[in-house]
Amino acid sequence: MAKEIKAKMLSKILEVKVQPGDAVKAKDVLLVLESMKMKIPVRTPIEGVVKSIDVKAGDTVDRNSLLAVVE
Amino acid sequence: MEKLLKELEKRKKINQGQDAQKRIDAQHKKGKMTAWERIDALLDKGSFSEINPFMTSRVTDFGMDKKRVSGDAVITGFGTINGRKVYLFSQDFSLLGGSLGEMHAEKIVRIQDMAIANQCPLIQLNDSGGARIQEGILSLNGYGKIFRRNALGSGLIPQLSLILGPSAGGAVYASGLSDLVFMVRGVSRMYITGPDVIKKVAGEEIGHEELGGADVHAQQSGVAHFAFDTEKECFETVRKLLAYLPQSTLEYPPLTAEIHDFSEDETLNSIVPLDPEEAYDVHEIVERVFDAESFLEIHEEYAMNVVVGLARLYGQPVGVVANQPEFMAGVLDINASDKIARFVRFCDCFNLPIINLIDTPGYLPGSTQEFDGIIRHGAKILYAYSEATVPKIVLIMRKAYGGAYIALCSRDMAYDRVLAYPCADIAVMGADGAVGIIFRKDIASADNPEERREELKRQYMEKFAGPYLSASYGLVDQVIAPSQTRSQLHFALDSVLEKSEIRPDKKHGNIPL
Repeated sequence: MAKEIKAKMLSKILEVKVQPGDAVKAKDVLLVLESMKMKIPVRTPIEGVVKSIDVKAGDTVDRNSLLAVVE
Repeated sequence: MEKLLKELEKRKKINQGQDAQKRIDAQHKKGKMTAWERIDALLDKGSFSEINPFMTSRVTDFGMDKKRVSGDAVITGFGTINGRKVYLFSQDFSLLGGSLGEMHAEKIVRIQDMAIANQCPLIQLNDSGGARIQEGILSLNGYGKIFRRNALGSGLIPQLSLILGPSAGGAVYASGLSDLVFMVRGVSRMYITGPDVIKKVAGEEIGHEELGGADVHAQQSGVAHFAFDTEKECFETVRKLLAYLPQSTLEYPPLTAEIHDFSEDETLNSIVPLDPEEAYDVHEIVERVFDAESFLEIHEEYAMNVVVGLARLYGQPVGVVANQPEFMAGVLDINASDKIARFVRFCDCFNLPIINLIDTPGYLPGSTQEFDGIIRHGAKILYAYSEATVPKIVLIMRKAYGGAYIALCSRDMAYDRVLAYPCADIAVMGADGAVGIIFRKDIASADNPEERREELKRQYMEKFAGPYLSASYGLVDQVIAPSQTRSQLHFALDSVLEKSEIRPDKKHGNIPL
């Protein structure tokens, strides 16, 4: 089952750590974003393959914006 | 007499007739345990005593007199968990769909009254199609009686609600009123109106699991405090959880073996990053500070910007409230406020001291939060801590700014002892923001504004950042090395463990809801 990973709050994307097609384990860091002046790692809750990365470094995203899909 | 005894045996087995196996199989086919299997799995072996097994419906409308079942589709009684008494009911979905009729409700009411009168926990095992429509208003009134007792028992005895099948319509409120709600993926579903009605009324198509499954309530609505893959894990956690709690508000939580190891843990010196922009997982600290493997997280997947749960500190059960810098920077928002306030009041009800581990930039700014009422929701945190008379200990690990400082750390608002790490940053706001406001003109008129800003920021940090200014005011009691966290929290707690607070008599406060 595909898992959509969304932003929890207004954030700026600092770094994307994985590419589509990469295999990831649960809790691996997919990307790092900044909110409330803090660098926050975004982790995948499930093991699988990165299906898409929907943002790039420098993007500013709103709450609930799609960041990545893992399946 | 022999004849009478035979009659008794026959009546006892009335629900074990030819269709019994069929009913058990039907329940198993849905991936569910039966009402009796659940009692066996939950309680100490052989400890259960049933009450009122012969009560049955007296309603005759719609041919219900032909469908009567002994016990009216719910098993009620008492037994023990870890040797301590609990009262419970277990609804039997395989009989009349576990539906709640007049006598079914009456049996539940009796067990609630007994739990309250005897000051023992009540465990509700829900697996019911809802109101028994054939019994009409008698069924509805039954719910009223049950909910009133849930409310009256609240704060007196722990009330746990296990959703082990459908719980729909009004029935959900027996769980809504409980202290803690447990759900099982693929088995539990809980909603006010099911998918069929929603489709008719709103035209929206949604499945049972998506609407009211364990994940929905554990992650989104916050109605469930725990979600499990199997009923077995659910029962194990209930057994584990009760070991932290007293039988009622009149007792203290049970202590486990005394521990006298005050050794330092050097690893703790390097978990909280000095760079205020670096995040970390506060679980790493919680796991190291409290007794090994004693942390039982509550609302693990809901409002993850704050971590709450039960733990033991040198054998003493405590409630832990910790900001989670790794999730939304550990801000306080509406859901986190609800989560904290509800947990703090739970701890206060059952005499569990509270330990706050603080690293938060403050309340979440934004129009959505303001429109949804962060003021009244955030106020719940202030209310709950001020109201609580249990020992309350704070450890400021890093950021403690503004409103969040007041709510979670402020000496005179609520807390008995305040400790801080040397890297604690206690202020109205971060240095950046503060300098920008205090020295706005100074910076604007400087030849090199950026340079001036940095210089002023450095001066500000030297004077105001860190825990020592607060300590000089007596607002921080002690500055500790992180490696000594475990023993220092223990000493702080020990210093106020027997305190009592006298409050003026009143009916009750008016918590902002």
